[in-house]
Amino acid sequence: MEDLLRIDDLRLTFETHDGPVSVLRGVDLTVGTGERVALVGESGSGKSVTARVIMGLLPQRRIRTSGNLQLDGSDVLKESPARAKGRRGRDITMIFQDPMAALNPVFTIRQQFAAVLTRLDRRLSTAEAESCMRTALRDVSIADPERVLDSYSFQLSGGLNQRVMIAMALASRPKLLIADEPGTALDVTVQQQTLNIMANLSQAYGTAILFISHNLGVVRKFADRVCVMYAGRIVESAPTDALFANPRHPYTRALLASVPRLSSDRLPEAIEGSVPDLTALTEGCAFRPRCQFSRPECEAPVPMWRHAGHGVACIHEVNPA
Amino acid sequence: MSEPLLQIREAAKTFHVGSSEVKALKGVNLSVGKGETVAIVGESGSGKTTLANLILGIEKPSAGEIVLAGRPLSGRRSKADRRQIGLVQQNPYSTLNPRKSIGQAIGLPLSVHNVCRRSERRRRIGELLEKVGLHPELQDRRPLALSGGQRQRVAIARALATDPELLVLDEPTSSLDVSVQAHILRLLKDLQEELGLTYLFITHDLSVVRVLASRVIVMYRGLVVEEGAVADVFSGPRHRYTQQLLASIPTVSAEDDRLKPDWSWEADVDSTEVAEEGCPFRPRCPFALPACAAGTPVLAGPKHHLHACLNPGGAPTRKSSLELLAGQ
Amino acid sequence: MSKADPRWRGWRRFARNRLSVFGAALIALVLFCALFAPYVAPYPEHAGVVVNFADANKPPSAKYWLGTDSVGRDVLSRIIFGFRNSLMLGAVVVSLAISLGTIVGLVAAYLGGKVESVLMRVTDIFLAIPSLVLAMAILGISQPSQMLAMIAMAVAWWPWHARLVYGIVRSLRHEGFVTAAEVVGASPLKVMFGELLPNCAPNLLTKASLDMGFVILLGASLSFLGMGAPPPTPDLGTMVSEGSQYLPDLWWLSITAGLAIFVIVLGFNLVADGLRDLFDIVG
Repeated sequence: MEDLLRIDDLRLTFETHDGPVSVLRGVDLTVGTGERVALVGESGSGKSVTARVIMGLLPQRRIRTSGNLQLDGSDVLKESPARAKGRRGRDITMIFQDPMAALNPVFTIRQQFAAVLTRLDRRLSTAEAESCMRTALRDVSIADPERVLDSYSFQLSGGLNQRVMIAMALASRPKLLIADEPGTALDVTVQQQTLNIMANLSQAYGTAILFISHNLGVVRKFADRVCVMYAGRIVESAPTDALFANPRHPYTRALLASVPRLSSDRLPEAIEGSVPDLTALTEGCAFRPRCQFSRPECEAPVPMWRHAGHGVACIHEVNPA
Repeated sequence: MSEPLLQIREAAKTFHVGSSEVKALKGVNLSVGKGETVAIVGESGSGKTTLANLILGIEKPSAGEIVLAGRPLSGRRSKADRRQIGLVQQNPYSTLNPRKSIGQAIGLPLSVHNVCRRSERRRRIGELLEKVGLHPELQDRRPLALSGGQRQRVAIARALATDPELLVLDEPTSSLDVSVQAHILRLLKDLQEELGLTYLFITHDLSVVRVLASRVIVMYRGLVVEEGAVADVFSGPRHRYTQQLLASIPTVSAEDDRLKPDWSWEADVDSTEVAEEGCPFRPRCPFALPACAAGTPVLAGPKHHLHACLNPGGAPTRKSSLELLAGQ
Repeated sequence: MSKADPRWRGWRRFARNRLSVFGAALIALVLFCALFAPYVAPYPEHAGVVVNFADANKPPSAKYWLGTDSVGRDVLSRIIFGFRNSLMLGAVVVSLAISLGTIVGLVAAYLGGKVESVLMRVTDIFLAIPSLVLAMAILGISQPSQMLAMIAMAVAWWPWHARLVYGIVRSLRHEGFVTAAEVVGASPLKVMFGELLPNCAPNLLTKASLDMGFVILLGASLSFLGMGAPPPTPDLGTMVSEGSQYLPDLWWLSITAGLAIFVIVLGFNLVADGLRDLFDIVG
């Protein structure tokens, strides 16, 4: 599979009044054409920042980046803001957690959708735009597109709004869709439904998806590959089945153990300690203070150990104790 | 079951919005035994939050009554009644006043109810903080300095300040990271054992219910649609809505997958149509029969597992449910 | 004060904007002059009834830095005493307006229903009348006096604070901590003043600083129109007004008093900007 997105050793530091904060500390990530990759981590892991760097949505001031970020052959970190803007909404689109907040309540869905389409193609006639919108809404299982197009976002349910967002995001047939916690604000049944729609369409259109989530269970059904993030680094990356069947990084295992199980009324196991302070991190494994297997060697920088598509950033993979 | 601590009889609540009426609760019965954990599960608009508000005295019921420890609660709550019920809210970032210290937050119930003398308050707040696994010195800090999990512990300490019998837990872990959630669940379980607390656990997340609750009540559009022991409901959900809820739980293992009912996601679940007559779930239900439109189905079935569905999912044989639960 | 001290960090945020520091320095200077006017002013006796025709209508010189007026009083001394009057007026009016406005806004937003409708409609009516006109109308009722002028201005000013507090409390009304306090059984007074009011404090403080400037300007306008403090109290507005009769020959009379007003208003406005940064208030 050809790499659509390739990130090597991406580092990002915010300059704050209290000193620099290392938010990303060497992220390596690839997304192949049409591949669905999940980026899973808890709050503060850097998953949303990664998404915003790829989108070119972070302010240039007070930020230092290094590393390599290739998207479809162009170098995102070095290009001009104008080029990044041109690509946004065309080759790469994004949907957010709360569809209500992402749609403007003073315009109808038709007006907003039409604006998206004319930005893509100025010569588009009204009739063409109409038929395009209707097809797009039918594709996201909206049975009566006319009614939805005439509505304002606040007249529609959260699920319908989310589907409208998906339809808009996929209208340009982007190469990459970044979905930042999609549906987390919705009821579970509705979330499941919209994720199904999104997954089916990505397959039909050949759109790659980078799926940002804090929930391991949610991504399990939809991703081809899962990357687990911790304190600004990807600590484990593997095909979905392999990751859930055989999690190797101690953090991934601990995270899985903390998920309540349907099949058991046993209390899930909590991870002791707390998320590290990003202002005071050293080069070694960031999970070391909370890890029951930590050894003195963990203080040294940890390389990513790779084998058959399974990558683990843990010293125990390199030199088993 | 032990003597019920909380009983709700035919509670109904209708909101008047302009000239239209919204029936948030349409006659709900509920009984919570002392020391029990009852989970109320449903999506937004199910009426679970309204039910909690009635119990907490934030709203007054339009009809029906709420009985706490044998005494009916009147519209105007006495201080003694309020002492008996504590609340833990969903959002750890809004539950604490950003302009007040942790000590002041926990001190509020202490001062409102004159729980202890002013000179002893500091020590008492320290004890409460220790009880929830926090350092007593934390009381001088502002919420801003605390993580989400720590704030939720403070909220629990505040709820415990008046030594209540009943805690209403309104999505206490939904806004937390999963690794933090595990800590809070353990804390809640430990506190229940230590203090003999009764929990009314309001949530949309069935996976947490399995861990914390002994009995579960599933609500849909202001009605109870299924009620039973957690093990029974999880292994053999009868109402189609319960099945859909269970099927949409994000699971992380193959064993968990096997417990999820099959559900055809092709049917449109997001229907906004409101059924005025008949089963409220009918517009979304792929299994609806013509009879479902006739009248609202009533709760039926064995006492330990009731459901209000005319075309329910197959009752599991006793054996299969035992097998499933033994396989853990 | 260590670097980790929140007060130090607060100061750093305030001081990020150099202009706010400059504004704070201006206010400090004015405040110092006002407090120690009898010691700072070169001719303290000129604040009262002094006639010194020998030195009347003198332009600025080494003896009288800002010149003298038509009866020979030192303008600088009168401005320094004028600061006293302006600051006192500003402080009294703003405190009165904040107290009344906060109570109205808080009660209206928290209790809601009929109380809210009545209180906020009254507020709207007051807001619809320009403050200067409203204050003049009240002052027209009886003999002008400093006290009446301050009350008139406070009456014209409170609706702005009521609106501000109303808006904040409305947005906080259903926050978790308010519900938590209600469920515990805290009285409405306790919820309003114990829980909600502290959250309005940053905005109120910022607005108060901004208002000090505007109220002093309004007070000066009233004095200019002859409705302020009666003579011989040194009042900056009155000084501008009286000096304007002698323009352009005795230019220093109006210009210096006008500049003095400008300095106070500018100072409070710059401090308000700094406070806004400090508290992260949007808008």
